[in-house]
Amino acid sequence: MNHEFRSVPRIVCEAGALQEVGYVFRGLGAQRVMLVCDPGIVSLGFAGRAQEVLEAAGCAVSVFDQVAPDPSSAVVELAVKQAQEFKVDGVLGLGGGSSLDAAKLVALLINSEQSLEQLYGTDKAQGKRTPLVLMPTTSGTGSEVTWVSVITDAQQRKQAVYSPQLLPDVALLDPLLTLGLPAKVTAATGLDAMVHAIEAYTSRTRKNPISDGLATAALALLGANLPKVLANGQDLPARSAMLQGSLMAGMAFVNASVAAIHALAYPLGARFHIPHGHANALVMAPVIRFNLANAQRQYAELAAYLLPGEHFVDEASAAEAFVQAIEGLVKNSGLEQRLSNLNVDEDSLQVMASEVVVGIRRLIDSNPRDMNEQDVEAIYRSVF
Amino acid sequence: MSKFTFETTPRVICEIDGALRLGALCRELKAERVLLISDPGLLRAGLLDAPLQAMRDSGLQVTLYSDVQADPPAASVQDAVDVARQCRAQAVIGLGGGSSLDTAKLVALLCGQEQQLEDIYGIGLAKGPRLPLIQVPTTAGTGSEVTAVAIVTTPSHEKKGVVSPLLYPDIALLDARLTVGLPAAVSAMTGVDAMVHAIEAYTSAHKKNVLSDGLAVQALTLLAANMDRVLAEPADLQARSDMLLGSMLAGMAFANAPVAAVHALAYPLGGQFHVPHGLSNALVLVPVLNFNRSAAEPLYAQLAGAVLPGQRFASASDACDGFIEFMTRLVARMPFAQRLHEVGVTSEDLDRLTDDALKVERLLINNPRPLNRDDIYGIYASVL
Repeated sequence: MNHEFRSVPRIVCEAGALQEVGYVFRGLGAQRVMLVCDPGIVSLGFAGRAQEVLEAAGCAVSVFDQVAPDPSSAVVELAVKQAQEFKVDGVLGLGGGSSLDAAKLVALLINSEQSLEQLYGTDKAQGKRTPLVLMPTTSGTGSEVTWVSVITDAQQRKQAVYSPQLLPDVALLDPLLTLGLPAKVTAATGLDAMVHAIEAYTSRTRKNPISDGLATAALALLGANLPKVLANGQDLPARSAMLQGSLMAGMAFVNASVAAIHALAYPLGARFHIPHGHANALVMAPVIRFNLANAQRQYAELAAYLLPGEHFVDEASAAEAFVQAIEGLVKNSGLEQRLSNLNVDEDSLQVMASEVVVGIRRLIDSNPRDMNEQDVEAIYRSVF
Repeated sequence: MSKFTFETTPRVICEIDGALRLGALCRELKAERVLLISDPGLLRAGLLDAPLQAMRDSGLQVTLYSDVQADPPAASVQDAVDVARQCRAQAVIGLGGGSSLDTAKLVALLCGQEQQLEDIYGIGLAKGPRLPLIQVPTTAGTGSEVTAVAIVTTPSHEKKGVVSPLLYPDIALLDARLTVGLPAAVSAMTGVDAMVHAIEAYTSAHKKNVLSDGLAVQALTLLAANMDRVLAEPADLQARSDMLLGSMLAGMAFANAPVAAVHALAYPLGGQFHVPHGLSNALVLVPVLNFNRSAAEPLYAQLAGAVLPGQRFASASDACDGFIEFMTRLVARMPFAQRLHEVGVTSEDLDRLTDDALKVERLLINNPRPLNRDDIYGIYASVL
């Protein structure tokens, strides 16, 4: 009955929202803005357009374009140094989850006495952050509405910062920025967003009615529109729906937790540099199949949103239809399905399994069915 | 192509006895001197004793302002501002129904800056900053804890509104314990009011959006499932908690997808006959639903799934019938007046009510089906 729900105070969704970014920062009282992004965003011309719009609104702009996938602590520290030298009073994160995660930490650290390492963990950050606007270019991580940033430290370990100050002032969604996403990125990030909605809805630790409402609405949007954007990347209404679904799934999971799919995906990212969305896609179908024994009722409820208009004779058949629909979505995603084809070696399966049950226990605790090391290894093997 | 802005309260805490934790929450907001704003009824009922004691035990200096009246007059808002200035309040807590929360919003706003109340009537005129603000509703409800509007009554008996994103509180605290003592009629009126918020947000003609939709559906699901339970078992904490949550979710929805004809036709009943706001809505709800049917059938059909979960309908038309019938029966069994004549309205009053309803243009434009003078008169006449 008791729970807490946090969200971004302002969300703007509009085709062409990038044109509004100058106005948004002026509204936040910012005059010297740092744009945090990756080189891809620069070559697509998005960074240049953001800079023009900001400068037209009277803001001075400093561009930091060195974010890489699984951003390192060194990159974040470099960006903070640049921001401090430029006397930044506003931060714009523009890009995928890595750029947004980095931008959040930069906004937090600019005026902080704390070092990045001191923020690792939950609620370690003190003080206020600099005004922050996040614009996702994938649908997606939901990072624009979560209060967590994940980075890779100097020892190649993933470190997470959980702090409410990481929520931005504004999440700005512009579906025009996602029209050109390659099919594989569209598939991987779209499935990632669906996993957020599903794992939030079945969370054993922090499931709550607000997350439930957002997760079901998100799953309906994502399920109906993922096939459309894979068939035609230029379908603007479908791209817009994916971005909105991703945002709502983000709001849902950050208040309810994700679970075993994410737990099993993390080592694949850390050890083999498989992109986060793809790593989730690899293990989602077998984990959901594994969970069916304990989550039949919830999967049956989700079937109504993923397969609207279909009628099922009973709960078991609805849940089975849900699991099969997920298996079908993964199969038709165009993503490589086998770990062995992604340079994962067989010896690593057991090592990763023990890492999951020990190191990422927190997420397994939220899974609707408990998992031991053998269970995890068997799931990895089933997709090896 | 959907385009929308969604703003809301960034932090919601749902917790039985959460009001006993207000001291710690004020500390988190860096406040030592706090003004608690409430009404004489809650003071007499003893509902303020435990929260006040807990805050004082935690070392806060708490001043109580418990003179809030229904439909708060501008002068009493000014009184409360004076009290806040005298005690040098660093934070404001609103604890009560919609009137207390609206007063708390304005006090927090006017204390933080130089503007006068009459300077900020209208949309977006308040400059801020405002004092830290925590809202604790004791009815389910107005949803005022998650809306950006405060309504006051001017010396010339006009209702004037202040609309500003600054009115969203820092924290909305939902403590179901505070609602167990609500009289049945109040539970019923405020509960139906909350359902109207969800319904009108879902069918809002211009600003309907996916986030409001998801929240409205979840709100209506919770409210429909628990309305009868709280009347039968007033002390059922789970049901009370779900009603508070449903009311808040409906508030989040309609704050971003505004209400329509039910509210427009309800306002003159409040203004001319002092009918409580929730009851005014309940009186005109069913005829407005029937009037809207031709334009809103697909949307009402979708809402059937929320109020009648698991029920199958042969067609959208059947589902729409099912929805309207559900709401008709629900209103009919509520322990309050069902006809306008029961609240003092006579046939001679209908013209003046209609004239006043036509003036609520800002809400009428949100209705899924346009209404002319004859339509409005007909609706009032049908429930005389």
